[in-house]
Amino acid sequence: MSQPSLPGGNPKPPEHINNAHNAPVKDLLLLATGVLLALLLATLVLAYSARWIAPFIPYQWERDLFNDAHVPFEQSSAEDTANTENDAQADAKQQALQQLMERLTAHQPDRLPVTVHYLSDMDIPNAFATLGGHVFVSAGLLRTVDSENGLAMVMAHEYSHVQQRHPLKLALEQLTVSMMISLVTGDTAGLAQLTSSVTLLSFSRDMERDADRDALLMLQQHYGHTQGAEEFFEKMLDQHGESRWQTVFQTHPMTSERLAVIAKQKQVTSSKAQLTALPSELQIKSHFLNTGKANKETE
Amino acid sequence: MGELLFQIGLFLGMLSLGYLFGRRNERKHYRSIQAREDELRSLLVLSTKIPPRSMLSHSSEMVSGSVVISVDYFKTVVAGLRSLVGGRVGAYESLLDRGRREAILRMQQEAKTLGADAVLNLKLETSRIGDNAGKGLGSIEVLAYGTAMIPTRASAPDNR
Repeated sequence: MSQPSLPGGNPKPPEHINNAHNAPVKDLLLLATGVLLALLLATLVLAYSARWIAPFIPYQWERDLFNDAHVPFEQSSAEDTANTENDAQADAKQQALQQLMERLTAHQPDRLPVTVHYLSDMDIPNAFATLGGHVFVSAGLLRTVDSENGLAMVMAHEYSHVQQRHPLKLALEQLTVSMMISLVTGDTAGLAQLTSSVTLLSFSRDMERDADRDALLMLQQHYGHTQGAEEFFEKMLDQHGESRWQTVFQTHPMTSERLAVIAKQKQVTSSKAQLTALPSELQIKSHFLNTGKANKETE
Repeated sequence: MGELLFQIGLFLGMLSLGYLFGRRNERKHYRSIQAREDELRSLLVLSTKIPPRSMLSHSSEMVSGSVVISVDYFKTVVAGLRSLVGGRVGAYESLLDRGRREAILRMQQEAKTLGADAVLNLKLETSRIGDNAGKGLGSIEVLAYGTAMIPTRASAPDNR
């Protein structure tokens, strides 16, 4: 029985077999570019398809999923705003706004139900539509417009966003992008936060244009003319003017551009069109005088 | 925008720091490993369980060596990207290679102080330590252990 002889010493391990990590930077760059390109492509495809998919999602699902209106702004406490209305007044305003919305949309084909909310603490003239068919109107907006037509234009505009499913399209796009990001970073907590953050959406310029177009049609249908549609935009132009910077970066079409569209539409309508006064519930004290004046001018 | 730039800058900074220091450490470590391997080459390490005939009258003792090495940021990023597409994770291969060889060296060191001339039945174990790098590997521990064969008077060559 021959005993195999013991080796004289330990072998020298070849360095290139278990340690072949020779070009780590090349490795990283190759992987990073490949993965980034693939993700970018997937994101683009998915985000783009979101626009196609959104209209096929039943509106009722959207309503049910987002039935609690999530006010995306901090409501200021009662003390620090002198002109805060009491709850009853705000409720009356909200109801009046809802009724105005119902009247405006009554004859729309495939009418979608929307819920109007009144932001009594918000002094900035503003209105927006969010997921689930919630339309918000600020107290500042009521102060800014002179006639019901001006207000109706803004509300019809927001309704058109809902009608064209713009909030859902944007939400799907954002969801896609966030999903991709959390896929890369492995951060799934970010995805859970997402549903609460999509309430503030900024529509693209094309979406705003489409909404403007439909809103003008709605006004034409409801009042028989589009007088007063420019009110809000004209006021905004007076207050802020427009800088070149805004025209490049703003998502809303330029205010003056929108005014031009409205003016074009107006030429078609008869000149003796009458502006409708704001319903009394929607008038805010400091503006009684202005509304009177506006009515006189058009007479 | 500024926040984003800061994040990207931080990422790239950590990436290059991880690369520079990680690479430097790895080179240094390999040089040290090779030098000590040369030194301890005559202290045999075998995976056999059965002692060779020449060591039948040796006394034996368990020896072990363990090492903990941290992953650097660069390696984590490369491995993270690798996990998306699959394939060899070269960045971790060299890390574990260093760990194994260092652990064996430490075990040999212990055997040497006992006066052993060989370590039999070599076993290696690897484990990941803690979640100290989020989803990354964090640190690795490599443990090497075996039976040190220590020559006794009875096993001296002239008595055989």
